[in-house]
Amino acid sequence: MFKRMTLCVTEATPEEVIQAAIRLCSKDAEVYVLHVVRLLTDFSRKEVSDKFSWVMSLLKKAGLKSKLEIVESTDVKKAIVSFAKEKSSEVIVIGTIPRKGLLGYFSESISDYVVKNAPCAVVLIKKAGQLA
Amino acid sequence: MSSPSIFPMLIFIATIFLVFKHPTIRIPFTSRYVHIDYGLAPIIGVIVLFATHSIDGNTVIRGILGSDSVKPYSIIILIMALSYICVSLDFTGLFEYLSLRVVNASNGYGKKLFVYFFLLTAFLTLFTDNDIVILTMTLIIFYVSKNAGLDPIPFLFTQFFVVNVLGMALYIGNPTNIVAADAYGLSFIEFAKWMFLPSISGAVTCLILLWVIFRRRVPKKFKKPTINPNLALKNRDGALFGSALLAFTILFMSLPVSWTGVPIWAVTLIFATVMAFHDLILYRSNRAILSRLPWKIVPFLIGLFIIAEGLASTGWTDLFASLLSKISGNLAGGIFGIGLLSSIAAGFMNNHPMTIFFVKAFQSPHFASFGASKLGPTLALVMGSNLGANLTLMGALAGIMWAKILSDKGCYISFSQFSKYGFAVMLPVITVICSTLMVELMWA
Repeated sequence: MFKRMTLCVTEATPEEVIQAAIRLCSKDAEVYVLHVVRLLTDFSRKEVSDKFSWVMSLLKKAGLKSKLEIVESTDVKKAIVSFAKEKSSEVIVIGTIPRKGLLGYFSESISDYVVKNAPCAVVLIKKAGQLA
Repeated sequence: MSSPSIFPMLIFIATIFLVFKHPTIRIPFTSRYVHIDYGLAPIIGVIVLFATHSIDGNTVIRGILGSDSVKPYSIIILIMALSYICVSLDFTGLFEYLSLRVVNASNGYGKKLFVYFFLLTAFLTLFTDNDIVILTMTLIIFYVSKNAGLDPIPFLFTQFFVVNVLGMALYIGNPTNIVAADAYGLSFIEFAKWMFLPSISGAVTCLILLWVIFRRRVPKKFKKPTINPNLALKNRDGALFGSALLAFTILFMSLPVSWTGVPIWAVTLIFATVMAFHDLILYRSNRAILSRLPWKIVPFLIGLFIIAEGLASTGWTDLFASLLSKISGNLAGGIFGIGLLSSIAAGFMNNHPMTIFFVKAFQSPHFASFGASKLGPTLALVMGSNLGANLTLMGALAGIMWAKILSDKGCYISFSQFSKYGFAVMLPVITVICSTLMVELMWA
């Protein structure tokens, strides 16, 4: 069980990832829900808050202390690792979509980078049957 | 002509493969990893060629300082300076603001939104950086589609295709335009004189074809999301200053060098420095902007120029020039043949290495074209270097980046799906652009 978690969310994050993250938390855990944006403006703040309100509701329902963190960066993978370092997270939870075909062969996965460079434990969660 | 050594060509091919594959490799006996990305791959290629004595120090120096009319260092300064101005302008939130204004202006009509997105992409791509336009528009299209229940695919393909079709209109539209234009000695105005009309005719053809293909996937009416575009604007004064500065930069670039006495790369560098000072005053630090610049393009282009010099010194470009001469023996061959060949080559080997390799071949004494003029093949090459990006996702560095962003957001576009639309739309577009170029050259 982890006490301090960075939970990475994107538009493609399914509920399974959030449920799995909840199961990994101790009762008094702090969860930082992290979303990386290219430009941090009042518009993107509002948009992200609306978009991930369902995630915050699930965490609140599970009785966890959580905070939505919006970070501005053009390099998502580096932003995740820096954020986890800054917050001294014990674990990073991130959803992963295994890509097939040439795009899978030629594109670098964010989760691969995070696993190799994170300062803490990393949990990758794949939704059952999910294949891009 | 004796057959050239195969080794430099193998290194060239391996470099292109590494640019696409960009593997992460563990450094032996350590727990560290090195990411061989598009910035590092050509440098590794150069090191291998140098270590195996396939190239010498002079080739490396020629690759950086240039030979003939192509000066790699000036091209790189121009690209980076122009990127700084565009990135700084983007940082103010102006492009997102404009995109949201367009969504509001469509008033919930699908057809209007389709055309307005096309027009905004066209406007932005003419005067700013292609990658920034793609990034901004992709995110806004995604936002609107999700909130209004629209299918994002028609809008995504339209913006991506239009960026690359209109990227060929002006000298500053794409780094490959600068490489090809400098090799032939085309000024900003001369470039626009030849390429503006063909790219407009191509863009109109592209819009019509995309509408025919996607019209059933664009609803007549949609529920317009409630948007306040002003919220996207981070810094109104910065946006106004940046827009004015960009306009002046383009204006000064279009003046003949004989009037200003300053080369075009120096003009851009001066304006970028002004912008940097303004940013320092406005934000107290311009680190955020500097970190967004495409720094890796510097080693990428330098490495490719050096490898191309290596290919030239070992006889590969002479061999290729002889082959190209066979298809460019008349005007139609020089335009249609080179145009189609360079588009397809860019689609499979990326537009930057393709352009540098073709330019080197055009400079070879073994290259002979119709009327002894290289203008037709050069203009066709400019077209190919831009449109190759619409044939396959490997045609430009932006292609894989675009597909990956979409995939991370849960919208998967496969290589084959992209190429299916790419070939269906681009082959007629290439035909229209080549025909327009031919008419222009015949009347000139």
